[in-house]
Amino acid sequence: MENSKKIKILLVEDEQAIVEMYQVQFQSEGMEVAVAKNVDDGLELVESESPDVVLLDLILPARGSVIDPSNRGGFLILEKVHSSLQLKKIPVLVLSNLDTPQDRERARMLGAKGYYIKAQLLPKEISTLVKNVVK
Amino acid sequence: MDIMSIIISIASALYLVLGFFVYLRNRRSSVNFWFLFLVLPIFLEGMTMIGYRESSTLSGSIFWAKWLYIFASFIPSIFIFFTYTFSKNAKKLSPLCKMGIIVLNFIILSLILGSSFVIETVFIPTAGEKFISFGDLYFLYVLSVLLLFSISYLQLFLFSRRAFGLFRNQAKLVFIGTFLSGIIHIITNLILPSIGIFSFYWLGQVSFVIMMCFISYAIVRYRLMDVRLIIVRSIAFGIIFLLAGIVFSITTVLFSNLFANLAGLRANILTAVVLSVLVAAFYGPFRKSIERITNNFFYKQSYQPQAVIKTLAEATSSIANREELLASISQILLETFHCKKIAVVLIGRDGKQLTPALQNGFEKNVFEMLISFLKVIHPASRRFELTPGIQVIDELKARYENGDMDLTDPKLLYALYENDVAIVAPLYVKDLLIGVLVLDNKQSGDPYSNEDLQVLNIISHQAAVAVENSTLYGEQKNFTAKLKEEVSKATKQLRDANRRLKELLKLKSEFLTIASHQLRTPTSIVKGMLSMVVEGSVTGEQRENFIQKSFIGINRLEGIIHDLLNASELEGEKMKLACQCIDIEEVIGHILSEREKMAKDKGLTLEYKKPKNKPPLVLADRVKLVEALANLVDNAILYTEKGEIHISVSVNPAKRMLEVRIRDTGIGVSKKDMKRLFLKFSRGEKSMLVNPNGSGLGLFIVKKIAEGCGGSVRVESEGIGKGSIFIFTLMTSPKSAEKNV
Repeated sequence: MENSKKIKILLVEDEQAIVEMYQVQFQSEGMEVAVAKNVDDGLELVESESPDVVLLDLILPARGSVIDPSNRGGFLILEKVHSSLQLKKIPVLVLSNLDTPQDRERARMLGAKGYYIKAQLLPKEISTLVKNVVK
Repeated sequence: MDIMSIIISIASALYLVLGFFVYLRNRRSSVNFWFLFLVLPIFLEGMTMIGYRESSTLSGSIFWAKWLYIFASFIPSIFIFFTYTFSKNAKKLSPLCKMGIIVLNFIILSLILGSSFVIETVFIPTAGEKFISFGDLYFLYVLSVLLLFSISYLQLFLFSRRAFGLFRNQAKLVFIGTFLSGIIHIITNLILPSIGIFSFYWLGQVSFVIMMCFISYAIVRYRLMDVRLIIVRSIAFGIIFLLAGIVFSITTVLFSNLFANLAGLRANILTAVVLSVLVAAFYGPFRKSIERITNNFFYKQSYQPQAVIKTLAEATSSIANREELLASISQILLETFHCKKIAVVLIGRDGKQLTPALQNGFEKNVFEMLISFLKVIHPASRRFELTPGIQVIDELKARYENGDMDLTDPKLLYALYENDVAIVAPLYVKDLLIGVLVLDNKQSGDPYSNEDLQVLNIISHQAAVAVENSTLYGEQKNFTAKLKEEVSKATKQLRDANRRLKELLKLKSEFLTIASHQLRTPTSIVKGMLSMVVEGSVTGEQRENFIQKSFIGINRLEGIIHDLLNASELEGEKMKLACQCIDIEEVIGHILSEREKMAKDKGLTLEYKKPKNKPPLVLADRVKLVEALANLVDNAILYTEKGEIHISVSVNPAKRMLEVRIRDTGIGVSKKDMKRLFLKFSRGEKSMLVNPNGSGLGLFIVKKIAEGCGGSVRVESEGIGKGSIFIFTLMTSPKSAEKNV
């Protein structure tokens, strides 16, 4: 682990408390964290930050807008990664509290490397997932 | 046999033929019977006259002369019976009278035959008419004959004055005819001979031709004794007979002359053969053309019953639509009878309701009359055997006026008469009366003949069946259409219900998805943070922070659970609220007192600006109203960093609305968000920074509460960072509105 390069995570999450919690967890394990709190930031950062892994929430507001739960803004980011040759190699883990077969299927189709429910996993379990996917 | 004898014999034969025709035509009619009985002595008188004229011996001449006067005396006697029957007074002729007449005739008969008091002898001159020498009692004979005739003429005269319509016309013709013949007969055969003039003796018998002409005219024109057709036909045959006779005579003469020299006797046989061939060959076409001629003469607007019935059958079998069918029947009838007006009234399924089905020319009130008329006449209508049920208004009226018939409602009959209704034909399907058909008088003024009525009877039966069928067809068609409509309606309802159910199901699953998401968010925070605390991966300040955040998370969880339950209760329909009259200022005061401290802690001013007039009472559920307004005030405090929160109330009396405005100087709302703000689970983006605990259901619930009592909620803002105004509208109570105006 010492030899490996510092892992850079792009955390796309609008919930402040969750961001705080994961930041503490990942940083304590020596990982670098970039945070995007809306769809537009996420779209920008996935390019500019060139992260090793993206942790992606699905229900996200557009920048300066209202959350519309029926509009899963997270998929826009997933689509961008999936359709871009440069970004395609970045593994994306969907990390949401939404759990419908349709959303799981859509994520799979758009090349997500995993689909996880936040409430079912502890922060340390998530960092293990991150390490596994980067390795 | 001289020309007078030939004329007498032809005339007498015609009388007899007519008499038999009339009688055979309708044996049940007493008028017809007495007519034949009247014709018999006239015929016999003619025969004896011929015998008298042709007899060359004295004894023969006396014998014939005696019988001549005996038969002559029978004529006025039987004439009395005829006139009384004809004028419908037969009952008034008492048995004593009848006996008297018979006795009188018997006395005359005995006197003439057994003595020479009446007829003494006959003188036979070498040239000219014979003459009779009368006895001393001849004047008594004359007197009794005159007396008997007078009684009959008086009876006829009175009847012709008394009778109406058709009967009056019949009576007039019969009276004039018999009177003229009678007078001539009396003069030539009674009066003139008594003063020795016998030159016109033969005219007496021939004078009956006048009577027969008048009676025939009455038969043809006014349906006397119901024998019109027979008379017309017999006249036709008479002409055929006459023409055949002429042809026969000419041919006989021609052939006799031609072949007499060749074959002698055989010429007659040959003539007969040729004649029969000719008759056989020409009889058919000849008869037809003669019939056509007589038809044209007697029925100017004639028709062929078979053709009419055939046309009608074609129409009724090819038309299913009731209106079209009735129109077609109406046209056929109008053309057949040459009348102008027709109407059909049908009885409904319940057997009571009558509906006008066809109306052509008659006034509308005729329908109403028919409805009543049916009630009056219906029970009796089946009794008419000759033309079942068909009512001839003219005849009904005449019968009523003659006292032959009682009517429950004579006014009705007159009303129909005055409205040109001539014929009322019931429409029967088996024994069920389904309606009536009415016609007006023929344009020619001719009455409906018996033949017309029989044709109409057949037609009305056909029409009734066809109309009934078309009604059934129409009903079936309607029923089918209705059924189709019902089925498609039911199908549509099912489809709609199914769609709604699907929508509801989708909404429900969507709600569950989002609800579980909302619940999992604080759960994941609490679970994650506490796990880190327990593991000891966080220490010091961070540890305290996480514990505090977990506590907030649990509170948030509870709030979300509350909102979810509330929202699921409100889902899809207007909230069921107990709307009552509420003092809005009291509610605002209550909320202010609870939220003052919260605002003060944040350094904000929270105030309510009272209007000049006390606002009217509003319709609302107090508990829910407090919840909604408190929610708006809480939001205002939460999303405002500095400045003030201002509550005001304004009234729109015209719309009977009251607005509560909650104005803040907080983060504001973008135009894009305004529409979505009140949707379920939607939250302003900035709100995440300020109030991470929101469930996204607060404003949705506020909106539902507002709508629950007929109000609404909306937001106004000049943009991000420029503060917002939430306007909560309520309906004012009608009572308080009156108070304020």
